[in-house]
Amino acid sequence: MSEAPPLPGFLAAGDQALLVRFADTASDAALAAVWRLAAALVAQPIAGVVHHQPSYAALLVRFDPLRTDARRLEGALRERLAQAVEAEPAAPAREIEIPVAYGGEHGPDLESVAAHCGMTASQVVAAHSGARYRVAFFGFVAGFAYLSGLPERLATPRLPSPRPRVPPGSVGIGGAQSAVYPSATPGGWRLVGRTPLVPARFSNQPATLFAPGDAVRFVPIGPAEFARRSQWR
Amino acid sequence: MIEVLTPGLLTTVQDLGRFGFGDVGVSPGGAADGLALRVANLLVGNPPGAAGLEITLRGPRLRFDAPAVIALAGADLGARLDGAAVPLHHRLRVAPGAELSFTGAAAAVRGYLAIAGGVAVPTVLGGASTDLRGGFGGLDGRALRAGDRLETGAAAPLAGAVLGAPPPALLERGSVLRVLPGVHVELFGEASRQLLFASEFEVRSDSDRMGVRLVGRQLGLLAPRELLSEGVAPGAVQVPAGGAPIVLGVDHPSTGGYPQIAHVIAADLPALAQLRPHQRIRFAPVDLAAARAALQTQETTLHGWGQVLK
Repeated sequence: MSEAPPLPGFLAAGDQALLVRFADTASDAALAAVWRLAAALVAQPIAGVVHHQPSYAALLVRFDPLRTDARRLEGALRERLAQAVEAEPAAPAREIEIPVAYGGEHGPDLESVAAHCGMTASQVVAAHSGARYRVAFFGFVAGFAYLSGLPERLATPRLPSPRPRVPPGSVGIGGAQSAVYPSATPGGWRLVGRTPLVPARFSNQPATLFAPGDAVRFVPIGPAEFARRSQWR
Repeated sequence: MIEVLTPGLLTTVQDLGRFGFGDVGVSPGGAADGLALRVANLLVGNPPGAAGLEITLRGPRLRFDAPAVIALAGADLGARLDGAAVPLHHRLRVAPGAELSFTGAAAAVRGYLAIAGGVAVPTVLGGASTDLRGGFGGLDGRALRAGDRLETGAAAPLAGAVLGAPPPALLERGSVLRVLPGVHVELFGEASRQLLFASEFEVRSDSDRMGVRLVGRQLGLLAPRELLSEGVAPGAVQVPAGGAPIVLGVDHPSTGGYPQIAHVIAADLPALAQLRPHQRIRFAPVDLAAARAALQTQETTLHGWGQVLK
């Protein structure tokens, strides 16, 4: 039985996009509302809508301004919102275990995170791998899953300047957020470990290890097991 | 088959972008100056969104192993066919063995090469454009390298009559960017809003497909705020803590957390794509009606010109 969803605000983001903002701060209710609306757009497309982008508490909807306009689109979105409350509950989420080699060459910022949090490296590993995360949404780059559930005591500010290249599979902490880098991009998050598994691939057969709503748990492994299981070329 | 002899500074396979994959964090991307790509494609009888090459500043040296029909649009990068200068906006017949090269030009950034039949690359998530950040799409998710070979698709039969020169409405790329209010405009004070419109900004040379970085008077929020990451769209004028605006381009990350003071209108995104390092620009406020009218004019002009064929 879902609670009454927060009513969103609608903001024009230029003349080709509308931002549907459910809240200014992250919450389970706002995230659920984002995904309900996103699912409604997939199930029942609105004429003129070309793209949508979920985030913690908002959905950006891009449209073709020659086929529709912000006012008409807002009306159609309000209809979808009203219908979505009655929609079937989403498929049950999966529990995904991600092996992670913490520290050393695979987690070059583990020590600095520990220092910032007033913990030992082992305590950070225990706290990080002991938590249960949920995949909130994919953003930033293809397959980059923003996870909710990072224990508050592990929150660590981003690096003063980003690394030009983060090894793909790296597990990062950025402020109060955690995520697994799916590809070698620049990145400013603190790298505490690395998974031997490829979290997302888009060439050949596009696939992601986990989907929004899935629960994720990190399982510590050693460097030898990392080497044995590494899917990275 | 086209052989890449030298790749140029940043040459990538681009179409008009892949839409509909925000659920996995994929931005549409595509040609930064989509209008120029469409002009080039129409000149060779391609569908407007066929894959072509986006050429940046220093162009490649390409050898055509088979006969081809090509056209160039966007910035004039000094194209040469077997050493002889060739013009933009013309359908060009290329003989087997011919080499296309570029001498470069002072006042230009992005040129587009369309080949009849389109550039043939494996489709990823429904599109042919190159996602450089994600490392997929186009030619292996990367810029062209020396030694690469590009395939082309089957060309539609071309009739004798050709399109005339594109009308000015399709070619102008000015230095005044018309904007609507940004999604966080109310977080900026009147002073910053006035500065945005009263001053000139200079384009930094580290601008790229992700965004145009500007130098000028510093803008700022009324009070410091950490914002949640939200979906963003091309044209967003973001203001990070340092106060120097970044105007997001086609290769923006799918979500962002910097406050947005303004948003460049769709009709001026081609101009955004052609801003040169050190160019001085201004922002001008417009309303939604003016934005829509500007886009409508572009589209009507393109459609009308594209019909005058065969």
